[in-house]
Amino acid sequence: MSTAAEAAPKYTAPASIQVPAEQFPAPKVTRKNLIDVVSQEQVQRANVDGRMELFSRKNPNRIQPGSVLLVETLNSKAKESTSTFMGVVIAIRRKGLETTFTLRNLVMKVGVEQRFALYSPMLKSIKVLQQAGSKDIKFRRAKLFYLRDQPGKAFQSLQSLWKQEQAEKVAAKKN
Amino acid sequence: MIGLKGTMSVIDNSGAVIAECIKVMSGGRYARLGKLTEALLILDFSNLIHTLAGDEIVCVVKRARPINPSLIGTQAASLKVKKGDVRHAVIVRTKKEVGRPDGRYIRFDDNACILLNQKKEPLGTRVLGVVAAELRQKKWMKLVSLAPRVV
Repeated sequence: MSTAAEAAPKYTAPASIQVPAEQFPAPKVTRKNLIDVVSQEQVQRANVDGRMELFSRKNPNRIQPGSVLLVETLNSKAKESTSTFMGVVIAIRRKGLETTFTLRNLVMKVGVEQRFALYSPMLKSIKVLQQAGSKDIKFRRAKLFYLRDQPGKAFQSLQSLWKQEQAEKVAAKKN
Repeated sequence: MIGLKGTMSVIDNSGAVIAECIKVMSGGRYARLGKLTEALLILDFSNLIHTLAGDEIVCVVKRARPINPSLIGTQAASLKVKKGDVRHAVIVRTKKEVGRPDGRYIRFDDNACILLNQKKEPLGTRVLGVVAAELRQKKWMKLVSLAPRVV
């Protein structure tokens, strides 16, 4: 068997196919679901700045529903300009490469929800402004859609967090 | 997704408060804030073709702010519409989520529109409220510049 493999000609892909640069060692595929292996490698390739750890299930410092995030997205691949959106995480949908999370905020008294694809290359950065899961900032649900009708105090702290963030930005620019 | 009989709030100072859609100008069944087309691949808002702009509708003013005849004299007062007026409008916020080319989806808590005149210019002089960035097309640049906040 081994001699047959050595004798077989090496496969070169045609020019139209983009072969990604080899970043990871060839995975073990025996007794594993091949699609799972491929999707795990897809996530690892897309996990450029460690955003996978923020949303993994086992990480004790993962983002929990109810946390306040500040997300920066690039407006276009060519330009450096970004747009930011701050909001409360109301849903996290874990589907490998297509993991998405939804942020909700009140903009001029109108509720706005944005769903972000975690591994999108247009998503520049995610900053956690307030971590949920401690003291009184604890939500006993995975999906906080009830906040659309009963916001309670969930969105009260957002204004002050935004001002804090702006102040930090100005201080950072000075330095 | 605003269709026939769909109501939405009017967020300019034309005087109307609630409008009801009676015709979707694009010819479809529902007016949308924007729809993903093959322009998805162009990850740059300035290159998007017009199909991603807010849809135009014809609407009836269902509720309007009372026009006080003694206050006539300012420009804003002369533009006021009254209940029952039929006007063109452009959708600026929808409750139905709209996809952006980079994979984001955006959804507002209500439907909103801005009334237009026959020349596709806004009837009012001010926009009161958030507006979706889907409107950043050459057609609606005036609206975007009037809007206090674009998301």
